[in-house]
Amino acid sequence: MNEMQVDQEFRRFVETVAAIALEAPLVTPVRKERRSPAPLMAIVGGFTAVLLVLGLSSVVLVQESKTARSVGAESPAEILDYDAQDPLDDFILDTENAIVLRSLVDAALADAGVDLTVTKAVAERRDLSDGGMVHVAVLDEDGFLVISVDYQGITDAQRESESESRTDTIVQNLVSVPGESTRYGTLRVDADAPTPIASLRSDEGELIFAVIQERMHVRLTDDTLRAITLQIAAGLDQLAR
Amino acid sequence: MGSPGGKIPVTRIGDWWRLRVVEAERNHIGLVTPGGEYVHHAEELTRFATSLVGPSDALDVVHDAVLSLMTSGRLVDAENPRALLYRAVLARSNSLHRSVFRRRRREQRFAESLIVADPERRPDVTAALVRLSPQQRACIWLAYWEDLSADQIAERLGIAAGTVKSHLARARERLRRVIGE
Repeated sequence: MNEMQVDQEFRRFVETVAAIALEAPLVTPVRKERRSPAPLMAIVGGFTAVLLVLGLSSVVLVQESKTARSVGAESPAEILDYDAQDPLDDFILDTENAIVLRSLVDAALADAGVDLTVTKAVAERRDLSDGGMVHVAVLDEDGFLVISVDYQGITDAQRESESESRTDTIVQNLVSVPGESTRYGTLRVDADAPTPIASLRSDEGELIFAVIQERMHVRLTDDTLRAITLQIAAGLDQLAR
Repeated sequence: MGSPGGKIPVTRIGDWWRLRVVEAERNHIGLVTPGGEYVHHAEELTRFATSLVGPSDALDVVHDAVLSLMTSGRLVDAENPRALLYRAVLARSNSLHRSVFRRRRREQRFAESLIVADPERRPDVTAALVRLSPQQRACIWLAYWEDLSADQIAERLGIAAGTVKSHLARARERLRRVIGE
C-alpha cells in the first residue's frame, strides 16, 4: 500500500512542480500576503518602483500604447495593489540578452566591491535595433528596487537627436552633466543626484545604471559608478566583436 | 559586425550569443528558435530546475548553468547538448545546496510554493519531498515526469544506472517512512 502511495506522491509532486515552474512568470501584479517574494512579484515591484522613481511610466515600459494607472502619489507598497495592465507584458524572462547583461552587471558590482547581485533580468520583446530594452534589477529582501540597469537600443530616428530619447526627467537631467568621451560612448555620471545615475550612450544604445539611494545602504562615488558602467560597457563591446 | 546566419536580426548584446546559436543550429543542436529569441529547452530546464530548487531560484539556476556552458564553449562541441544542459542545471543546483542555512531557507520557500499550489498534501510529506537531495529529486523528476528508465536517466545525468536506482530507492524509502508514520 505504501508503495502505491509513494508513487502517487511522487507523481503529484512532479505535476505540482510542473505547474508552478512556468506559472510563476504569469503572476499578475496584485499584492498578496507574501511569505517570500515570488520572482515575478519581485520584479514587478521593482519595475513599478522604477516607474515611480525614474518617472518612466509613460515612456519606456508603456511605449507601445500600454496603459498604466497613474502612480505618482502612491507609495511603493501601494503601487503593487494596482491592477492595470502588467507593465511586463512586452517583456520576457530568460532571453539571451538578459542572461548576458545579468552576468556583466554581477561581475562589475563584484569588482567594484558592491556586495549585491542581480535578482532578475528581463528583456523587451522588441529588438534592440527597434529601441527595445534589456533590464536587470537588484532587489532587496522586501522585493524593492535597489539598483536598476537598463540597456536600451537606439533607433535611427533617435540617433539624430540625443535629447529626443531622453524622455524621462532624471535621465534628461544628465544631459546638463558634462559628458566624458570614452571608447564606448559618451559617459555622464551624477553620483550626487537624489538618484545616483550613470549613462553611457553610443550610436547603438544607451546603458543606464541607476541607484535607488533610499534603499541602498552606502552611497556610490562618481568613480565607482564610472568604473561599474565602463566595465559593463566593455563587456558588451567585447561580446559584440 | 554582421548578422550571423543572415535572417537573424542584429542586436548588440545578442550577437555573441547568436553566433553560438548559429553554430549550434548548424550542428543540429537545436538550442534556440530560428529567431534566436528563446532557448528551446528553457521550459523543460526551468521545470527540471524547479523540481530541484523550487520556483524562486529555478530561473537563476538555469541562467547560470546556460551561461557557464556558453562561456566555456562546451555546448557547441557536445555530443548530447540536452544532457549537458541537464547536468549543468543539476550541478548548479548542487552548489546552491552547499550552504546549510541557504539550503534550509530555500527548502522553506520551496515547501511554501508547494503548499500554495497543493494545499491538501500532508505537510510532513511536503517537508520530506523538499528535503530530498537534488540528485534524488532529479531522478524522481526524470522518472515520474519524463517517464525515463533508469538507463535513460543515467545517460541524461551522466551517472551510472546503479546510482540512479540507488537515488530512487533512497528517495522512496524516505517517503515511505513518512507515509507509514
